Amino acid sequence: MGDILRREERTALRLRGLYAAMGYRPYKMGKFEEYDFYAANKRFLQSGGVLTFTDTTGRLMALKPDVTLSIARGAAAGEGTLKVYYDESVYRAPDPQAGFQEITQAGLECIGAVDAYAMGEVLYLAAESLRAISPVFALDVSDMGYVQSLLPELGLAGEGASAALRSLGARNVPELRALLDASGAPAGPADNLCRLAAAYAPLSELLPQLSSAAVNGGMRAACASLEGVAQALRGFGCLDDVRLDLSITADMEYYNGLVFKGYVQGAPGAVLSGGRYDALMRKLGRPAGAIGFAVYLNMLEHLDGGDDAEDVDVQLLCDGTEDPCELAARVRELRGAGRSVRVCRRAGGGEGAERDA
Amino acid sequence: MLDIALPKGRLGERAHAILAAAGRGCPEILEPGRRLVFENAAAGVRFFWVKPSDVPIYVERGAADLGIAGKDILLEHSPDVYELLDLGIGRCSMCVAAPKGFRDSGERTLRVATKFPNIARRHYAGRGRPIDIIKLNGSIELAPLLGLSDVIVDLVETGSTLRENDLQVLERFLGISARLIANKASCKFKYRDIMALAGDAAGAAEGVCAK
Repeated sequence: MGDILRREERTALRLRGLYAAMGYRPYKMGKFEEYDFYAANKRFLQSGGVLTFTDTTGRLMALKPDVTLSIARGAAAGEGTLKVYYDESVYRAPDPQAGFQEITQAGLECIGAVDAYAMGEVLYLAAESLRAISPVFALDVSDMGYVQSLLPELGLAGEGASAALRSLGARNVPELRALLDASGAPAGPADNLCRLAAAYAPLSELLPQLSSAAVNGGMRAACASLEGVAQALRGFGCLDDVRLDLSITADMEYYNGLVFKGYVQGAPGAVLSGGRYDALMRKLGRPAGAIGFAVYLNMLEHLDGGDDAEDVDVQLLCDGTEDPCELAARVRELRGAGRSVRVCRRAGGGEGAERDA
Repeated sequence: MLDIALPKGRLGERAHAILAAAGRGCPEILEPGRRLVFENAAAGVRFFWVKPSDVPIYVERGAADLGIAGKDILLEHSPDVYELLDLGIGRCSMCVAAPKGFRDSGERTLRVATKFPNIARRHYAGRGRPIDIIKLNGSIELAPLLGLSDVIVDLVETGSTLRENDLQVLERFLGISARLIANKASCKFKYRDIMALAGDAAGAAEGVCAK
């Protein structure tokens, strides 16, 4: 059956098996939700645009642009720890000029008690998800708590802080340096941030540098959290798969701690994105931990390169004069021998023929 | 092998000169002809010429690992790429210009003609000034002369085109220059190569700009 599945379908199957084996339960999402919910949390979606329509009762509804928001909303009304996985389509416009797209994604969420082990487990599953797609992958982490606690030390707030985050996200160290100089940032923390902004290395290698650059309780707490995650990853045997990259940033209104992105060779951008979003849960009325990630399956479409020239073993080329009984018998014979067959009319006429594709 | 998108024209030639000074050039690229792809296997680089405004698209979508793009294009389109280096070439300013004697009373919506609607919108939004954007693709200077707009937002290098059309700069609000940009995924899998090239180019750019 593997042969007839597209790469993203094969991957989705593997991921479901992977997540279920770690105790995550399937989550079935409805396709519609009230638009007001998304309007109130628009920035969580990162890329704008929601498809809306008026339902039969006059309410403004939306085709779901995101899975995490729906799961978080449900979990906000519940208790205990929820561990779920999904494989769904969502609809949004990541590029406004390209219009709306159907985005297929698989992923998981863990909401409730989120400790170092839980974060490590989610990162381990993220690493295994990437490995299921390609043996050559990169899983990079950062911590929004570390960055969020550092910004006030640098005299950055409001638009200055946003500009610094943009420079950090673009690895634009000269621009970051200029912003820090303009804000009158103290030399020590400013130098450390510029050095760390340019760094890219295994988490275990960079974490001591991150810790030694911590100048307040928030930064030290973020380092301690990352250290706990590293311990869990060591236990899972995948610590070396994870790199630290401070250029990974996310909206601080929703994300408050660990954030991460995954890449596979051949895909032009991140195919996996996730992070800790306790801040969203607080906004939804439940002070709980929350972490999850999504794998963008539609980005895997072009990983295999071009389409195969032939997708069947044998082509039977006909000219329309063949005896249908004989033709059908030949097809049956080939199928009986386990070969795939396509019967098609010879282009431009001519006599019928059989050829191995 | 690193794939590098160069902007067609003088800026691309100057960027190539910097890379050549860094030992990452391809001599064939300077020969006249219509070829678009040039490779120097020994230096580990392959160049291709693309329209300047398309460079970030090639890089963001991974068709190129690296590219040279003006800061104006990066600010206008906000591609999801790394911006590794300011090459210090192609320096100019994003300006507001208007016919000589123009005064913005603030009583009416300001009509702004520009090739850079996003940059112009952000600039005026930051001041709370309501504007009407008129997106044009060239000869922007003509718009206020014919009454199509009150002001223009455009790149100004020497200001000679403005002067010849009786326009004056009201405000220079952004410094622009060419940047070395990189695809984010490429940086994960070719990190050492890309950072080595960026380091070499930084050294060479200082030398070229100092001349």
